Amino acid sequence: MNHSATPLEPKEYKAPQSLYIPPEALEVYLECFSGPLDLLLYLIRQKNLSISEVSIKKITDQYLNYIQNISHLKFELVAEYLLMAAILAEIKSKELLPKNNNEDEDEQAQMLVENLRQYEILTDAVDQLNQLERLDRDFFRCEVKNIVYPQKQKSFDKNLNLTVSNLYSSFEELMIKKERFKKYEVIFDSISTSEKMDEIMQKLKRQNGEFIRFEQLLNAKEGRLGLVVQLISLLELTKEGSIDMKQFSDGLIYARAK
Amino acid sequence: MLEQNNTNDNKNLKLPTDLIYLLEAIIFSSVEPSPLAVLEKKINEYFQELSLNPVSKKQIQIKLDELCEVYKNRAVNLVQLSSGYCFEINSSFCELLKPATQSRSSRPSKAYLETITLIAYKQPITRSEIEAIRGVSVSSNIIRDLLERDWIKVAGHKNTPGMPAIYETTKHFLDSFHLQSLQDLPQVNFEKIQNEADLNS
Repeated sequence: MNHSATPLEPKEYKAPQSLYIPPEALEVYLECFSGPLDLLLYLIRQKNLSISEVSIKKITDQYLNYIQNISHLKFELVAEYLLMAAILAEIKSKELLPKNNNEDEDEQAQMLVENLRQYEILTDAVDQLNQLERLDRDFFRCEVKNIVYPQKQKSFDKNLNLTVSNLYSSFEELMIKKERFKKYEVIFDSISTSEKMDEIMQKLKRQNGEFIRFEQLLNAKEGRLGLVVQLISLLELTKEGSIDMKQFSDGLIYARAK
Repeated sequence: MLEQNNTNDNKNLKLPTDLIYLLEAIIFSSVEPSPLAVLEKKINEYFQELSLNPVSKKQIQIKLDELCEVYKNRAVNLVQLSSGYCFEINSSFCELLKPATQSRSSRPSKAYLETITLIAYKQPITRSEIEAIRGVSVSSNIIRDLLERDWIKVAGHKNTPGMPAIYETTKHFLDSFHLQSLQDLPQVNFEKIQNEADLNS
């Protein structure tokens, strides 16, 4: 594989007897493997063995040796490697036990061997695919970008009926249009409750203690907010005890100054 | 009015009608490879406007072959890809052109190549099926990149829990590897792993 060869070429790499890889280095090292199967396959090839003749027991020791160093490192990175370590350890432990059932004991090992075989086929396929000519790596397409096709232009009418009065009328139209874009400013009237209370009190006092219709005290011209303030003022005055509010038998509400 | 019509006619008379050059112009100006059907449609629309007789696919094919021959020994070649005809720079100029295009063809990772290889050989395939063979989870970035690169597409959803997407390679993938069809992929003994899903389940 030319383009994604692992940095550790077999030649410059000695099979680990008493292996020590600094954990930081191992992290980098693991990243050049695409997964536990890749690492396992690498270990097997290291010994010039084929998948079918490999001894799970031996390879397990070696694999665990690698993984031990990194188990305290980034778990996201090594989770899958740890899973493989667990599988290997399980297979190994089963092999150590006295054999009762021949069919059952090999199932997991067989599955792993089968997985490895599949993975080996895959790596072979990757090599082959990678050797194919590839767009933008080995060959390039002629790219024509942003072609501006000449568009059919709107032909100018040379016989345009252009006169001074035409110009004048269109200018006039524009001025009329401009009028429609007048700016309006919304001015907020600040209505204070206490001012309103005074106003209402004066109005009531002018009645000389006579009852007056509640509606007459309100001024709809001041808008929604005004009405709200007026109502609050009336309630406030009632609360103070400055005015009386009563509902008479005709169902209407009246108010008077005390 | 009469005058204008005349000028139009004169203009049309000057327009090129030589099939081989028309094809060259269309293919060269197209961003995507041009399939024969598209070429035929464009040419015949053009001919109709000029009140000329339509041409058959066979006639176009003959001219395309001629054009291929014209470009044969040039740096730019006319090639027939899976999705149509397009102009390419001959791969022998790869070294010359590399520095300018290096950044675009950044080296794909092993995981990336494994994923696209599996999709190419085992399609239609789901993500979990890819993961089963690779023994590691497939990063979303890889799938997204492959989709963006237009090498793979979602062909549907598998009717299993979670409705996982089923991936297939695109015509652009074939074009990118100079393959006419999936049968042209390098022969790899992938038959053995037919029932890998059963093994892993």
